[in-house]
Parts: sequence; C-alpha cells; structure tokens
Amino acid sequence: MTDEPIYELDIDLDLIYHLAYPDSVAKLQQEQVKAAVIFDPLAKRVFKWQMQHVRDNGVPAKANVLEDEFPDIALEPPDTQINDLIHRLRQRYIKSQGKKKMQELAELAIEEPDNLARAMQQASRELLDLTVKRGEAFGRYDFPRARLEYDKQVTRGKGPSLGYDELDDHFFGQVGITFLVAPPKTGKSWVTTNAVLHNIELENRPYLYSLELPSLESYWRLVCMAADIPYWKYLKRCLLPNELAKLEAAAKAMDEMGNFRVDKPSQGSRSVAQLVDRALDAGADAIFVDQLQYVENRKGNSIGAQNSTADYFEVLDDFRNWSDHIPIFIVHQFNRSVMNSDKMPEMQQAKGSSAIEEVATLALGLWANKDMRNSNVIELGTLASRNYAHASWELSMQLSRGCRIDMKGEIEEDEENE
Amino acid sequence: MRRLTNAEFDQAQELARMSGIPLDMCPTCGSRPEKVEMEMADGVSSAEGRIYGTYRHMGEDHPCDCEMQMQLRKLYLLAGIGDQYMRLDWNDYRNEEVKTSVALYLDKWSAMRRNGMGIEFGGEALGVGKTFAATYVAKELIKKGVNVMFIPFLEFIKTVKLEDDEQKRKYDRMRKVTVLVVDELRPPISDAQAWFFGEGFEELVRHRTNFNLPIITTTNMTEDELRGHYPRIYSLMAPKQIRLNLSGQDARMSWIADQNIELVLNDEVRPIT
Repeated sequence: MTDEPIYELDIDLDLIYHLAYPDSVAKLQQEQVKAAVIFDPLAKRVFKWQMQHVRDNGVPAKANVLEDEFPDIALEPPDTQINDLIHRLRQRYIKSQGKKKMQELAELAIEEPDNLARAMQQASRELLDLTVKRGEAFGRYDFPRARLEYDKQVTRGKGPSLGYDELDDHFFGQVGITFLVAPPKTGKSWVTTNAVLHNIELENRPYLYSLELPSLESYWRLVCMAADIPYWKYLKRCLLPNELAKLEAAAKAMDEMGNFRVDKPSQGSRSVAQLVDRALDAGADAIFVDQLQYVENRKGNSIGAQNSTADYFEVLDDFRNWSDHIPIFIVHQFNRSVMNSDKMPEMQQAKGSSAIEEVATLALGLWANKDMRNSNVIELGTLASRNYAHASWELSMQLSRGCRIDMKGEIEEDEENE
Repeated sequence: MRRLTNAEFDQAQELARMSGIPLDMCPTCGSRPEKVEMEMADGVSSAEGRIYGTYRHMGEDHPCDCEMQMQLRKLYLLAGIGDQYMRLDWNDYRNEEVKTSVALYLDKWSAMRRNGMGIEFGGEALGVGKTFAATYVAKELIKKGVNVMFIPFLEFIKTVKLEDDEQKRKYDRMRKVTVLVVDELRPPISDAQAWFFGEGFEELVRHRTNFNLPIITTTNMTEDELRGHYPRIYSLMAPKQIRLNLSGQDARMSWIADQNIELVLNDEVRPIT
C-alpha cells in the first residue's frame, strides 16, 4: 500500500467547471455561497464574474463565453455534484479559517478578555454567514430535485398521527405546525394524550412537553388511557390490584412499541430552540406542546404571562422555522369570547390568533355546546387548513367509566342546522 | 342525528321538565346519571356516568340503550312529537300498502327533499293510523338528521291568531323547518273561519312550496272536500304531495287499546323508536 493519494480533488478547479452549468450557478446562488470560501484567486475571479453576469443579465454566461473571458481555463465536466462541492468548500473554510479564528479568540481571551465576548459574537456571525446551509428554494431547472423530494416523501408516508385514523387519512398526518385550540376544560390535554398514545401505537417517537400539568400526571394519563382505566381512580389512589396489573401491562406494551417521553422542563428552559433541541436529541419524530402559553420567549418569559402579539409572533416564528425539521403539535386556548358560542368558534377567537393563522399548517378546534356536553360528545374540526378541505368529527368522551376518547365519525355538512 | 343549538337544547330541557322526566333521565328504564368527582390537576370537576337499566316489553326484559332513548326523546320533544307517538313501533302498523309507500318515500328522501315533495295521509275513518304514519315518517327523518316540526292544525291556528313573541318564533320555525307535519287538517265551520284558516295557512304553504320545503299533512277530508274548503291552498299543495288513502278499523279503539292495558298490567313500557 502507498500513502500517496490515488486521486486528489481540486475543489476550486471543480467550482470553475460547475460555473459553466446554469443549474449549478442557481444552486450556488440559492445557498448564498460567498467568494470568501473560495481560496484559489482564479476560481474566485471566475466566480465573481459569473455572479455579476447573472446580476446584469438574469442568466449565467455559457461555457464558451467563460472560456473567452478567461483564456487560462479549459472547461471540463465537473467531478462533484454541486451540493457536495458547496459542502466541501464550507468544510474547508471551517477547517482553515475557523481554526484560525479560534486561535485568535484564544489569544484575545488572554490579552484582552473584555473584548472577547464581542469578538466571539462577530466571529460566530461570520462563520454562520459563510458556512450554514440556507433555506431551500426551487425554480428553474429544479424539477428533478423537487421530484426527488417527492419520492422521499412517498417513501416516508403519512406524517405522525393526529390521534385518529380518520384525521390522518384526511390531513395525511401531521405536517409542519398543527394547533389544537379549545376553550378551557374541554379536554384539550386528553385529546393530546390520545394523539401521543396513537403515535406510540404506530411505533412513532412522540415527545410530549407537559408544560401545564406535571409530567408525572401526564404520564399516568397516558398509561390510564392505554389501559382504559378511569384516570380519577389514579387521582383518588383507589386503583384495584387487577387495575394496577392492567396498567402495568399497558405500560410494558407501550415501552415495547417505541420510544416516547413526557417532559416538563424547568422554567427558564422552555424556549422554542431548547424544546426542539431536547426532543431532537432524544430522537423524537413528533413534538407535542401542551400548552403554547407556557412556552418562553427569547428573554425567558412565558408568552401567556406577557400576552403580547409580538411574543406570539416571535415564538411561533421560531416554531415555524423548526417545523421544517420535525412536525410540531401545539395546544392552545380560545379567548373568552367563545363562552356562549353556539357553534365551533372561529380561528380569530384563538388567543394571539393573527400569529397562529400565519404559521399554522393546520388548526383544529375542540368544542362542545350544551347539547353535546349533555351527550358526552365533543366536536373536533378544522379551523384553518393550508392544504385540505374543512371537516369535523364527533368524539365520545366518557372519562368516568373508562379512559378513551372514541371517534364517532365525521359530521356531515348539515343543511338542516339553521 | 343532528346536534341541537344551545337555544334548542334549552327548549328541549324545558319541555322535558314540563313532562316530569328530565332530559338526563332515561325515559324508558328510568336510569339517572351518577356523579363522579374527578380531582384534576387544575381543580375538581365532575363527570357523569350512568348504570344502564333494563325495561320490560312484550313479556321480555331488554337491556336499555339509555343514550339512544334520551337522544331520540330530546329530538322528538323538540319536533313536537308526543310521548305516545314516540313509542309506537312501525312493526305494529297493519296497513301494508301504506307501509310500502312510506318506505319508498323514505328511501327516495334526497330526491323528495330536492323537489319539495311531502305526503298527505287521508282517510275519512278515525284511528286508522294517519298520525301514526305521519309521526313515523317524521321520526325516521329526524334519525336522518332532518329538522322536522310536528304541529296539530288547531295549534297552528292558535299560533296564527296570537301575536306574542313566542308565537312569532313558532311561526318563523314553521316557515323555515325542513319538514313540517300538520296533523288533522280540518274543515272550517263557517265561511268566515274558512277565510281565516285559509289566509294564515296559505301564506305558510306558499312560502314552503316556493322553497321546495316538504309538508306532510293528515286529514279526514276527502280530496274534493279539501278542494272545496281550501281551493287556493290545495292547488299549491296537491302537486307537492303524494296522497295516501288509509282505511280500516280504528286501531286506537282495538289493538292499541288492548296493548296499552296489557302494558300497564304487566308493568311494561314501549321503548322510544
């Protein structure tokens, strides 16, 4: 064996080759690749010239134009795929410039410690700007990439469950951000527990943030629901031996189905980034947040306490950004205007509704009028949906004898209800 | 079955209270809800449960579907169907010809609804099952989620005569409800009464036929009598109704009376159907 590399890729040269291909140029633009990550002066000049050409003419210069402009280059087919090349350029930059920056910061920490924080912030901003992958954009020449994404989604199938097969069929599971909005004491937490349980049964990995109830209580709700044992028996500490055995068996079955976690992070650790990070670190594939008002803004205050639209926007914007990585199910409340409502309230009656309307992929409402409460049923219906038609379902909720919320079926559009 | 609005629910609750059987009590086995206190993390709340009972009918004990019994009663009460007719079983109806026609009407309900077709149950004899058949149709439509109102013709006249808010609300409902059942359309006793009856009823019938809202009627009058007493109304209604003529013996006086005595003696009850 020899230590000599058999083949060495010159990524600067390969970049020049890529610059003759319009779709590669478009990808470089989308990813906002900066000239700073290119080390070779010629490659840097060709890159800048080509980008300027796009700015001036709207399209990249063709290969023969590039060769006319730069007689030193002889264009060939590139060896890399453009995404791979961008990744390599950024990696190289981090390895060389990133390391240099760290050394400079270390020296600064010794010599001028007062300036360290600001310098670190600046360095991190520069590094982020040059090396972090940008949001996805699609346009000209992008059908093959879009098709690839579609094929991946076909393989992946439905998103995590919304709690009932009927809803999953209608909405194709959870995608992006789903809200469950309801008046107080309508069973929001129970419907959420049901959704978590259904995900466990489907061998998904749900992560429930029980920000209102203690996580122990939420865990018991989950187990009681799995075993169909009334939860009040747990609360009154009157579970019979056979019921405890049934609960234990249900918990064991849940453990075998897959990974799930019920978590109540301490105050000060409930920002969106912290919540999503913890869930992703635990390998979750769906996040449930019960409830939105207990999530903290970037300053560490819960948004319910602040009750300002700006806070709702800030937190929900953060959730939206993260929801590209993992679907998020958020429980939320209607405001007081719904107290005497005779039908499912409108989206606008949710607290901080303008922010919710903007970010929600799907907003579901939970509601019951006098007749429905009398008949132990609740309505679960669409308040807003980005992708699908509105629909409503009726759920049967009898928590005194068991612990299940059964689907009774879709509510037909009823011309008779005047 | 459709869910009631808060106002309708309040009305049904009031009607149930007046009848002596509250809405949350099973009208057939008499089961009552049991209260279970649940200490939730955020306070104490109570949940309702129920021990489902049994009822005795035709010499046999049956498990009671209390939820369904209460649900049907609530909707029938609101529609104005009396307790007697709530409990009559269509299997006991003896006129096969009428049964076939009624089955066809219910089977073709969507088309009937679209075209505003109702039924006229006619028959000169008393107690042949006109109201029984009309309430059966009403009950079956209610089960399909249709908004139905049953009103005896005399009550309708009272509604037209009086002008308080309650009567106005009732009249408004008669105009809007999907199916209106008018029981015992009767002849006037004078020309003045004919004019008065006709005036009030015509306005209602004209509105409903214009908007293809079906009307079901029962009457002892023949077609000729109807045409004679209420010519304008009849010309509006006739094209929108299927006339079924009933004849036979007076069921109220014969087998129903016998059954009623048997039920009382055996401590039995007919379930709401």
